Amino acid sequence: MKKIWIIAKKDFKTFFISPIGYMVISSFLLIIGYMFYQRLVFFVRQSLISMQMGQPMEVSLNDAIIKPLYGTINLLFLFIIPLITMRLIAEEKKLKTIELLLTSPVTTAQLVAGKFLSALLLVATTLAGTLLFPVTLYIGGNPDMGQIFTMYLGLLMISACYISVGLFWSSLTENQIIAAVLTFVSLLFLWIIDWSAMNFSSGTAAVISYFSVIRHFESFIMGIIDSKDVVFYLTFCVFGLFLSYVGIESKNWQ
Amino acid sequence: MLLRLGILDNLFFSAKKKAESQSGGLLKMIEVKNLSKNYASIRAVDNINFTVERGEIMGFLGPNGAGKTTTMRIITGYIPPTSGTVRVYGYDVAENPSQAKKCIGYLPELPPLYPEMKVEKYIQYVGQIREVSRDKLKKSVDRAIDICGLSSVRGRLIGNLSKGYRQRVGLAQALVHDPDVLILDEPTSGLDPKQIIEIRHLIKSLAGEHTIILCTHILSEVTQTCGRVAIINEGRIVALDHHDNLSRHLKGTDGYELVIGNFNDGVINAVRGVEGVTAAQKSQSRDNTVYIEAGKEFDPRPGIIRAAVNADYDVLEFKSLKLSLEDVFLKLTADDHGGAQ
Ligand SMILES: Nc1ncnc2c1ncn2[C@@H]1O[C@H](COP(=O)(O)OP(=O)(O)O)[C@@H](O)[C@H]1O
Ligand SMILES: [Mg+2]
Repeated sequence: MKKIWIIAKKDFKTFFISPIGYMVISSFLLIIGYMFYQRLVFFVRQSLISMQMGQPMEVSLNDAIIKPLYGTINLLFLFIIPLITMRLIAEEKKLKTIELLLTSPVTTAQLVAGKFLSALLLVATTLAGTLLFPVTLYIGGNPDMGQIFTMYLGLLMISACYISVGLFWSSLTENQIIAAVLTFVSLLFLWIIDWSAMNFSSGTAAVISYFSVIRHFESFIMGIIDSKDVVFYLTFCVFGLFLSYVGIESKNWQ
Repeated sequence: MLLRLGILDNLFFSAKKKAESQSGGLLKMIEVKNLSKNYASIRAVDNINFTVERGEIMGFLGPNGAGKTTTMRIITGYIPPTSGTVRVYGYDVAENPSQAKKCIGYLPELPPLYPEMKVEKYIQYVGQIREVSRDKLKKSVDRAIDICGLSSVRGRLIGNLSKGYRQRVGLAQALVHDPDVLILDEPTSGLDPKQIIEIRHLIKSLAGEHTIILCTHILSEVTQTCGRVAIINEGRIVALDHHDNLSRHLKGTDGYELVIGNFNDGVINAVRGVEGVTAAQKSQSRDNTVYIEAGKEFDPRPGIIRAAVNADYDVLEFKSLKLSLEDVFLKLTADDHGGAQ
């Protein structure tokens, strides 16, 4: 347990040494901040108009700002998480430091857990930057805080799944670009798998859309924590970590 | 072939360990038994057996592609063998990897460094994953930095260091947890002559306290640093002994050179009569010198000197000519090649 933390901490720090780290996080916050600002301005204008016309507001703060915003965060994660996870194992392989780690009393499972944790902490830190939005809304209005909470929970869970996919690809190559591209393509596939469901009979379609990662995010957006979705994300994540474990061990099969 | 097969029963190991450490005797720190490794179609390591005793520096000498790195990776638990066993400090690397790994410090062929880390932070990190306890960590890091002469660069980024310093950082990393066993894979490769000498001194100074395996393809490295040497070629150990013995045993005869002040052909006849001498002739390469050959079973040296002095010759110089390890190495690896084909 201690070693998992040592590895996670070191990797977390390393991320902030690299320019890519800052670039990824600052671009994310910039884009999402701009979107928040746009939506906020639009919402305020709309509410001013409806006030002048003496009509009650039709859309709530949550529907107009929060929901689309957190959908966008999810979309952006599709792009930035591959950039965060690409170096996790691939770089250790490239630098041959993997030999150092695996000849120390560190097990492959501890290594996988440490790497996963470092990326998850990083995503959580990035998400923490967006807490400014609900705080702003809370000061100026009355958003549904429960719903915001479930969205953050959902985002963390879905990121954990993305990370486990990224970690897996990173464990198979020493080329970070390849790892990032394969992660992105896999995640995109899991997103759009839902669309192809409509071409199938209802039974098959149900199975296919079950594997769509965003389908399970919908209830979190509604402010519901459904154990079905939680179980899906946890299972997905554990499976991804297991594959990463196998990926690292695969060097032994040569 | 002078292979030593260390046979150590696990059951009796702890008792034996105790007895030996009390008597200050020879404890087998590394035991490699019937070790083989196949990569797809290549047999990189082919039924290797050897043991290394406490405090020894054992050389592992072989040309590129001989299987040195593969063997070291198996000993350190980085890759599993196809067959055979490795014990480090009595712990089976396959069955008890974390105990075995704790005893080992390993400098791979390419030092495993993070260029974006500072020297001190890096060594500290390795210390942590090598389970150096929190209260000892600072001391251990300082000690490793001190031994490897890194005090002046401890705050520098590893990526900005010269190759020689990077190699030292690699060595410091292997030493930070004060391991019983040190495994060094080509520790001087790519360094300039001055750096090579420094690193060799450093390695020699570590002997005694640590048991060391030193892999290299450079002969002089072995003669200067190691005691026993295993010569490995195409995955097999073709000879294993102290490097002095290796050259002597393989030759079968010993050669001597005798330099005489008042040289004439009479001295050759005088020397020929000495017991043990098989041949004596005027040296082709040096003036006033007799070249003498003798069998191994009888030491002719006292007789040679006495014979020359009794016949009133002035002995200016007398030395034995050893077949260099280089000759042995070439001979062995060439023989092996011939045999394999
Ligand atoms: N990962 C690997 N996959 C396939 N073959 C390998 C691998 N590593 C080493 N080899 C082969 O095994 C043999 C021994 O290599 P190595 O142990 O690196 O030798 P050395 O360290 O003595 O130069 C070589 O023929 C090499 O090509
Ligand atoms: Mg090698």
